[in-house]
Amino acid sequence: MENTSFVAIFLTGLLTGGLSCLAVQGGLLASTIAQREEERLKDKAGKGSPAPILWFLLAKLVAYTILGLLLGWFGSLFSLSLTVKLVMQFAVIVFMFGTAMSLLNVHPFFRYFIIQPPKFLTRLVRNKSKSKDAFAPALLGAFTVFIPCGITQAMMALAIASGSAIRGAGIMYAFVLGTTPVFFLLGYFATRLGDFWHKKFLRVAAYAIIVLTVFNLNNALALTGRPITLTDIGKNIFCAVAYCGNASGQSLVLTNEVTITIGTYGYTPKNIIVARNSDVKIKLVNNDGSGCAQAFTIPSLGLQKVVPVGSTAELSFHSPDKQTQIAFMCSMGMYRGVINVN
Amino acid sequence: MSQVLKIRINGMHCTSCSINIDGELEDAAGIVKADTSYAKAQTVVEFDAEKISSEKILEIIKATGYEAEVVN
Repeated sequence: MENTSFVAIFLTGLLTGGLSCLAVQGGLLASTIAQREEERLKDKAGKGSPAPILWFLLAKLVAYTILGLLLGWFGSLFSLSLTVKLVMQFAVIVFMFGTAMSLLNVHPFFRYFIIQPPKFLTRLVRNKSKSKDAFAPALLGAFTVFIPCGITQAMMALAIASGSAIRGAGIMYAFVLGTTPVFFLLGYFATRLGDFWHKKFLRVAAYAIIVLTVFNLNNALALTGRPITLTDIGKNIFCAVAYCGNASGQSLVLTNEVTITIGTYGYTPKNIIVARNSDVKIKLVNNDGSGCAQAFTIPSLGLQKVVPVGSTAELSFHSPDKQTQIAFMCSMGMYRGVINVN
Repeated sequence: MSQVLKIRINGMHCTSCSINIDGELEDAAGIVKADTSYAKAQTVVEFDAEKISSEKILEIIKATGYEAEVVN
């Protein structure tokens, strides 16, 4: 996952997550603060402090990061086979789309996409909010992991789809960190958000999920190995009306032994030409390509080679006996390139 | 004697709302159990008719900010 995606997820949390998740979690936070406030007045212990809110938010951040780690790890179990990974990617897309449609109130059917936590868990969390225990705010913060709101569930799905424990943890960390300022401010001033604003922010949250869904859909389409990604379609339409030429600016030389370097921004060269009906050898050199770029994948041939940073690997296959294009990409379909068979 | 009431609820925008409704209902004296489903947009309330009336139950839900009407 690129840094830009983490930034997008953080912004989603900052602009929408805090407000749309506040309905229940904010209420719980307010009630534990109220309980402590009562104790304080009884003890005449001086001024109130933001400490309980900070404990609540810190525990919440830690709990969700661990959850992201577990979800990402769970997702990584499915990345063994390309087909299974593809099925899972599309399942996540359907789930995220359903969540967005539910938030937009398009049809009652979409309500079934929002998973309702079991009763015993919501009861447990609610009881904790009534506790006067000094650790209650922190425990409650950690317990909110059991009552995720719609948009958090969409982020959890994204963490599973990332297929990596570290990236999963990063996604949840970025999102929950984004929600923190709003939670702190509204918690500190003990303000409750009006229904009007709540509904408005739910709509923004829904649109943010749709943007992330389209981004994921594009990557999943790339993983199918066919030139049907939204980027491809857009490029084809553009090139039909205007001359595109060799957009990469690289000179294409027919070769059957090629070296592809893996870097921070994907693969170089992104376009290679090989002869039809011949043995092709690709040498992969990973200089500083971390994340999914390490897993060089040719979906249509069912080939995948993981090349850790600082190492090299070789991959060979027999090219088809016809003029065609074979897409190669990272395991998530984010970094891409094409092998032109001439 | 305990009775069961099925209530249709309008205005919930996420499962958080159903958690809030359950909490408010179960805090009221006379309500044994409340089971609100966001997906079905309804709640099933088990209550003691000698301690609380169905009108009072509807009032509690409405006070939380949702529309409520008895189904059965």
